[in-house]
Amino acid sequence: MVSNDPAVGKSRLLKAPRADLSGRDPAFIRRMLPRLWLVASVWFRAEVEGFEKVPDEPVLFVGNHSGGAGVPDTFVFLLAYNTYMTVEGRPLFSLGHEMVTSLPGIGAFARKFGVVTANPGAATDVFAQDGSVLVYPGGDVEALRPWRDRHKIVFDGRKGFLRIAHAAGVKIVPVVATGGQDTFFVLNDGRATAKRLRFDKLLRVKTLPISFSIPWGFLPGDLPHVPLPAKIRIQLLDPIDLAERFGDEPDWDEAYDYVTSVMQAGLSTLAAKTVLPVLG
Amino acid sequence: MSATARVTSIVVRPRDEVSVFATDPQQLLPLISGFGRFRFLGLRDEPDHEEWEAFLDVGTLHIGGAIDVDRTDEHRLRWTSLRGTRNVFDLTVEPDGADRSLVTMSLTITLSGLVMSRIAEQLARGIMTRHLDAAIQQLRHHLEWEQGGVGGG
Repeated sequence: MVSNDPAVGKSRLLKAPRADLSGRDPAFIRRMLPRLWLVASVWFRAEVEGFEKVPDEPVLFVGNHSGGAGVPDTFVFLLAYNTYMTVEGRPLFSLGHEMVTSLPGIGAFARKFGVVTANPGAATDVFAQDGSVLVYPGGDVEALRPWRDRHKIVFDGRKGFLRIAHAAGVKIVPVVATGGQDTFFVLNDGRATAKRLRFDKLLRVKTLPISFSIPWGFLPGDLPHVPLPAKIRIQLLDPIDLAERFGDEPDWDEAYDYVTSVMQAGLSTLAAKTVLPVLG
Repeated sequence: MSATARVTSIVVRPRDEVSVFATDPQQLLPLISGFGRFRFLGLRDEPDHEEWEAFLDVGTLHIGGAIDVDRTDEHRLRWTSLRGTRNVFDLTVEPDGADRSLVTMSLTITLSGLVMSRIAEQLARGIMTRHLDAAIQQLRHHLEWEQGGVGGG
């Protein structure tokens, strides 16, 4: 199924693939799981907890995004989901930035794992197929937030995910993660720079900070890099039923404040397990 | 030598309401997940002083011991260690307008030794800051949303 939503690929320079749900390749995922498990276990010493909270129905997983272009916590979560729920179980699609889905090599890999170019129509299509969706409302702004803010939820006021969940009648399952922002270092908040250079219009990139990563060293923004072996912890929180809590016509600002409050408390609690940054 | 961690947060609830909850160890300590072990040991001789046992989970270590909890100020909770890790905790609730409060938490630990204790205290400062941040965020969320707060909870 291909989404016809006009929001797909709307940056002026990128030619992002259409949000094609048939791009997810269960056989490919099955082949990749052992080697991804090795990377997740040895390199990131990953811990993912809380899948028992997920109801047996389509849900919208809402995560905090970290790790810049590497997005290591996304792949750890996709690995964990596909092993806990099994590859044949309810499929999970992750809505990703077109910078990711349009990258040579990595984009194709991501699409086979169920990453589709982010747009509301794609989420609706997934729910119609009884699948679940993973979104990162903070997108590039959160994935490239300064290292000092690594334990802060930065959704930048984006509320579209609330409307998607409410309209589809699915519960939100918050997912908080630590460690991704320790795989490289972001030195400053680059939102003003991106706006000044019109990157927000040309590439749909809302931030352009200075980062430090291997092998690039200091770099404006970020490119796929070798992640430092930071310990990654992921915690799923209790599901949120927006209709039950906020009714048929929610005050979106209030719903946004509630979800981000739940996630900030969860993220700070998870971060308290860290003894030493990077080492975990 | 000693190291201090301090965090602050605005809580969108009136000062009196925040103080009643935040200065009561019976309510506060169960909410703070970092305190994996805590129990009331008894009243002390001084008025409004209680003896508790509280330990922070820090990886494989449990840091803490017996503490003297001072509840003489209705807007402040303070404790000093009696046994175990030498530490001083201080929580204050100040008004921030009519309907908001500014909560400040600080924790100071003192370790024996010279060079190694200084290194350990620097590491401990980061650990304590993350624990205090978790505590203050849990407190804020509970008061704002789960206890009849702005979300009606």
